[in-house]
Amino acid sequence: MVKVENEVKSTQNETSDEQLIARFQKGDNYAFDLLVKRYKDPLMNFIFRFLGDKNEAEDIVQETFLRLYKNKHYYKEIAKFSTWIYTIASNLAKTELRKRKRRKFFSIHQFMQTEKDYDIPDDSFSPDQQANTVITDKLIQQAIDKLSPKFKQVIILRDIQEFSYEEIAEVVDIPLGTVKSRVNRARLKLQEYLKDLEIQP
Amino acid sequence: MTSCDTVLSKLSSYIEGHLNAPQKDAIFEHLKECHTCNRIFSDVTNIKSFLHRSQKVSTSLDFDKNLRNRIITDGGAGKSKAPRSISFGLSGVAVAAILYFIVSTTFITGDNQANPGDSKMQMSGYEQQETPPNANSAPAIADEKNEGSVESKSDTLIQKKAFDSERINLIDQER
Repeated sequence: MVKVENEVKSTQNETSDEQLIARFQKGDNYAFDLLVKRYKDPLMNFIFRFLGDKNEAEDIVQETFLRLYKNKHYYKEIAKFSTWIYTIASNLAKTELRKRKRRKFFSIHQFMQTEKDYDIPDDSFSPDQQANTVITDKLIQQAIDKLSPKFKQVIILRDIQEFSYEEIAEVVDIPLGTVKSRVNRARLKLQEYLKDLEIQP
Repeated sequence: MTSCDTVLSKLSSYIEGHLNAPQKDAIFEHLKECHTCNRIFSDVTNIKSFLHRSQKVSTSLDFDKNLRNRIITDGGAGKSKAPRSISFGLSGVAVAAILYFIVSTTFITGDNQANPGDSKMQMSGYEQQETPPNANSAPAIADEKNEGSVESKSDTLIQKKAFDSERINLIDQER
């Protein structure tokens, strides 16, 4: 994330996120455009890894910026802008996951009432079926999808978005020690799901 | 020798170089001896590296246009305040209803105390409409037991009036 921020800063005359949001709060809509330009792809990548669906991810990213646009005055300079915007996006993504779980529950419930003797095909990732396959982006995404939201969130922020442990603690709003142990457990879970695959160093 | 559980709980810290020298050495020694932990260490290191270089996903070309449309149609800066005003409106209605209930209850009770005759009339109307089994049973028994006694009759009448005034509030609430 630091790398992404630095790259963007150099192209935007070193204007910090906090300066941009301050300008936007004063009515400068161009500052909002710059924030969108700066964060749309990193947020898209984060939400896509979280939800595993590109269309839903784009919708959530748009909703995040919409919330930023409508609630710009809620941002206070005590927090970093990046952690604030990632917190909004994380919460929206978690809400979407909960909705998805509810939809799945109701569709299965409805289904069970009518077709009781029908087997529901399990199309989820199975390491046994994938044995001796070289790891791919798709397989690793399937393994991430199997993680519970609390593990998924921290592993994406740490290993894909390259947040520091302190930044993750701020986004997720949990103690630093909990973040560290959660990241470690998430990595071990991924290893468990992917252990039969050939992982190229 | 350090246990496998201890090694696995500190694996990320070991990989990221966050351990002090003695802890680092202990884990290093364990990994040399334990094939299972060594395999996990190797896998986790590779997964971490794979995640780092995984394919980055970008927004679509229409993203900016769609966002602009959503901002125009879905949210002006003040729109987020709408739910709050609705909630204030609802809580205002609730407060008004509670106040109305308290005021009406107080006034009706006051009226009943001021004009016992009125309440008696209302009570008789109520008795014609509906007679709750438990409500009238106690005064009825008292009437049978104290038949012929003027003093007892007046006591019963007081009890009945007290009972009536209690019921009248409820009737008015039901209306």
